[in-house]
Amino acid sequence: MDTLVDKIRQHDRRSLAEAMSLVDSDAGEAARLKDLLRGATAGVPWWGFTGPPGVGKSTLIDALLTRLRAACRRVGVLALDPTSPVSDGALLGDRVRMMRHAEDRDVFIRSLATRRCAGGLSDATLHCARLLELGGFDPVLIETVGVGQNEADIASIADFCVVLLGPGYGDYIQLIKAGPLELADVVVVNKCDMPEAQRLLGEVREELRHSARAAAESEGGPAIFGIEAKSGKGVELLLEHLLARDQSARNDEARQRAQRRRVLSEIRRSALRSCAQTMDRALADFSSTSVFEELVRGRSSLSTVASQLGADALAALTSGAGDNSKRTEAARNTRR
Amino acid sequence: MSDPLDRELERWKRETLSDAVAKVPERPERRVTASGRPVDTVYLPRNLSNAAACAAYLEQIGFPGEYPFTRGVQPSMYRSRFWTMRQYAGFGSAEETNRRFRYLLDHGQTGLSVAFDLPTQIGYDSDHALAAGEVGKVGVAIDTLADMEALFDAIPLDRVSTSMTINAPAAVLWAMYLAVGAKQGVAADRLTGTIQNDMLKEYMARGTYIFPPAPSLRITTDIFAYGAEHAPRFNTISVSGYHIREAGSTAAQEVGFTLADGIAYVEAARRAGLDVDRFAPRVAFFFGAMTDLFEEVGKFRAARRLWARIMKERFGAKDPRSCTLRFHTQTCGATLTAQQVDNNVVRVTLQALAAVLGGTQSLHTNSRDEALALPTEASVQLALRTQQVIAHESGAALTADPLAGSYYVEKLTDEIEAEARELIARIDEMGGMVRALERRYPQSEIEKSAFAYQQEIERGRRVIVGVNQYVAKDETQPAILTVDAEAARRQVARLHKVRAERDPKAVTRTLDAIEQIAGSEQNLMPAILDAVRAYASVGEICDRLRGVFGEHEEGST
Amino acid sequence: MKDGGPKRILIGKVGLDGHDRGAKFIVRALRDAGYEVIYTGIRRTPEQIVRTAVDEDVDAIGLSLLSGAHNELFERVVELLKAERARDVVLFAGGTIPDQDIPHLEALGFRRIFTPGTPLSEILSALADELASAPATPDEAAT
Repeated sequence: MDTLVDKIRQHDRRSLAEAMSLVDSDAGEAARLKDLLRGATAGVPWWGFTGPPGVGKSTLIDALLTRLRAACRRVGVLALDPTSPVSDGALLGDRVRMMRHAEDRDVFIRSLATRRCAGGLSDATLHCARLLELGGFDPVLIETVGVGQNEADIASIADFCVVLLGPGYGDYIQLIKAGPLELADVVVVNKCDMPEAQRLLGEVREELRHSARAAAESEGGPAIFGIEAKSGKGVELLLEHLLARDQSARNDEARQRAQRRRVLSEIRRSALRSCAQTMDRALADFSSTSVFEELVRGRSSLSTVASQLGADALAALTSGAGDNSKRTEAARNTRR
Repeated sequence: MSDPLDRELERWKRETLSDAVAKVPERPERRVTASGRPVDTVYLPRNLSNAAACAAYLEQIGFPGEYPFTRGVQPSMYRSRFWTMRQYAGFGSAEETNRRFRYLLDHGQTGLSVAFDLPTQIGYDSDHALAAGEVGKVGVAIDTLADMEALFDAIPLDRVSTSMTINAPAAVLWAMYLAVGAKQGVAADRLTGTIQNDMLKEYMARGTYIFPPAPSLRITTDIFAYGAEHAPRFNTISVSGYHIREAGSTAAQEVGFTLADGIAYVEAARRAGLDVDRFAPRVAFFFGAMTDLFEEVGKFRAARRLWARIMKERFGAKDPRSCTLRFHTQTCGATLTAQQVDNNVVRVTLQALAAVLGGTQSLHTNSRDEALALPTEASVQLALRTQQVIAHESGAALTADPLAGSYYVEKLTDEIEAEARELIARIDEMGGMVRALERRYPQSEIEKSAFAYQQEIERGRRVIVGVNQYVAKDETQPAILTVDAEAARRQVARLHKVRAERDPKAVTRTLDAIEQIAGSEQNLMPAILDAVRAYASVGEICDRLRGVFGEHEEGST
Repeated sequence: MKDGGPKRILIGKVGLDGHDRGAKFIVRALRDAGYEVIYTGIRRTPEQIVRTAVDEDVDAIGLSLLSGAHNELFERVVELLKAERARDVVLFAGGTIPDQDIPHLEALGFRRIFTPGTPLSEILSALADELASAPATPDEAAT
């Protein structure tokens, strides 16, 4: 494992790619690698990108890549696409828009499927970002799925978060109100050559003026940019701003803050997954009990049973989670 | 003469048919059925005594050669002149393709259709790294005017019409054609033919783009303007639905997206200051023909009627020629199967018949072995014979629009027109075709249709003979054409020889001029003509344009 | 190594032809069959295909080509894969490829060549077989 880490440090691409597969599959030595990574990284800012599908996230990242490369930065990109809930398969199509960088050895693009994780990121995303960092890529750009669901996860691991909006993608007024702007450090309106985009830009400004966050923010809230990612119009200005944020994310204090947030996010993900798994097992057992039948027939109260099940699941977790053969207390009790 | 439609028929004969027949007389063969029954130019609904019913008929269907052209663009249709039998050909070097052209002309083909190889279509010279393995493969390799001279050697350009499937570098290849004409002593205004020059469908379906949409449209309109002034008999665009259909669209999508492209070109030409009636008559179309005979006939009729209405209602065209949708048809290559290749002959026959019953102006019939490789000479001859049998023996050419009045075909015509109209309205809402392409609207609609169609085949809900039913075991493939591996090397050698022998100063000067004009608003055509005459190559010219216009990347629309 | 998740497959359009109807169908069909599919888009060079395959650490590469340039371009892909030490990846291809060229391509290392009209069910089961029998990626991660 140490050899692998060394090889990645020495810019061995294939090792980096394989290590990403390892953390993505969560098999074998993945846990050890993740532990190693945690201590080995946290020096590089991660830039988060979110926004509705089709709004131009990949196109914007492509445009930023060109400019970051011109400034001699080695850039890592993680692009998330949703896993099909039906087949477990996924169509990873974001890199089509970045193919001009395919042969650049100083760009590493990796497509990731969400593998049924909610929140727009996969469990492996954070570890893959650390791997990119280990491989000398700086900064690391993370593009979320952007299905309009709760995407707070990106805000918890990225140093700053760009929310990309554009005209013609669903009811964007609703989108704004639904709150992705809450997690935005930078709001970018794409396709600004279209009149509707100009209108959208106005609405975003208006909305942000009223938002609680803007009022609280001493620096005056999120920055707002209008761009045209395809032609590159406005991208320079945006990049200048992102680089300034990147710079101010580099002091020790900011690095420590970022690392703590990421580790908390990591624990939260890991713990929630364990809880959910334990709960699912408990429920499977519970559904064959007489108490369950009583509930179904409306003869007992759900709230006491639910809290008992929850408490039992937690107890089971602390006494050794992840063991498939473990039966929860609730299941055992109710079977008596 | 109490029937109002009889009076209309007399009027049509007097006002429309007689002029047309005076210009292009009917063919001398007997116009009778196989059993000797005489056949009229056109057949009409009977007993249409009610004036309102007669008016409705005239509005929807009418007479051949008259608005809304549902029944065809010429009054006497194939009684005067068959469609142009135009086999798409080209492979290897210019000399080899020249031999194939002459072979086809000797066998009764009446027009030429040039297939270019992919490097030529994407503006790379044969010695470019990206051309590796592709030189001369799907068409002929053309690098410089020297190749074009060899391609048309001993073929008098005043006596053939030539169609060129060329899009992104259309201006360059067309300039070469004009230059070869000049060398043969044929002035540009006597040349006839068509260049495809349809970039919008490249972004939608075909993929051989070079520049982003905006400069592409600018080159397109430069060609329109130059053609209107100097080569008025040349069709300067062939708006193509064929590739949209081949990518898996439905019939209605083929019509809707193609005509929406047509609208975008007319609008671009108008913005460039061209008068609609000066430019629109030089717009040609190109569709595919699938095996579903009746739907295809409905599609062709719907396309003709809808275009006529668009030109009149939307663009206020006054010249009837602006309202006529003239089209080339190719039988759909995607329907050919690699299994039991002889079945393809039958498919192509039905497809060709659909095109003829649908009133096509020219036709390419695919060869039986094209799912395997480029066609052999014998296969091409059989494909051409298929057209000749339909022309001379089937009776389909004896009367205009023989399927008119079929309850089924009229209904299909109406439905396809309505559906295509809706698609065009959707694109209008998005702000036009360029915008719709950016949003991937047509692309994703086509992908959905293609996926659904293929799923039906996979699930056996659609039978393809020899593929998912009636499958033969242990088939052996027929002998196929292989392109001489040496051809690419010879082509590169010739390019190097031309480069060594031409006047380098003239090349640099003319290329510099192209670059400078590309950055201005002037028409690019004269500068491109100068450069090809100086034997500058396709790749050199396109590289200069890339420098000014940039390159299009997939996914960035 | 990657038994913890779906297999990853790259579908690449190498060469200059823009006919992607078949490739796109396969992409969707593979997704629906439970694979994670990376599609490169049209007009890709062998270099781009191989770089992408390595970075994405795919289990299989499917190449689609209809222009007849398969012999030259597929050979180049194999060369580059060897240079990247990525020989264990399952290679397959589809397109207008005449029977007479298939032995050459198989000798290069292509496990399957799917010509037009091959039923999807056949493609999926062949791929599943090949992926199951593929030698495991030399496991440098565990060293």
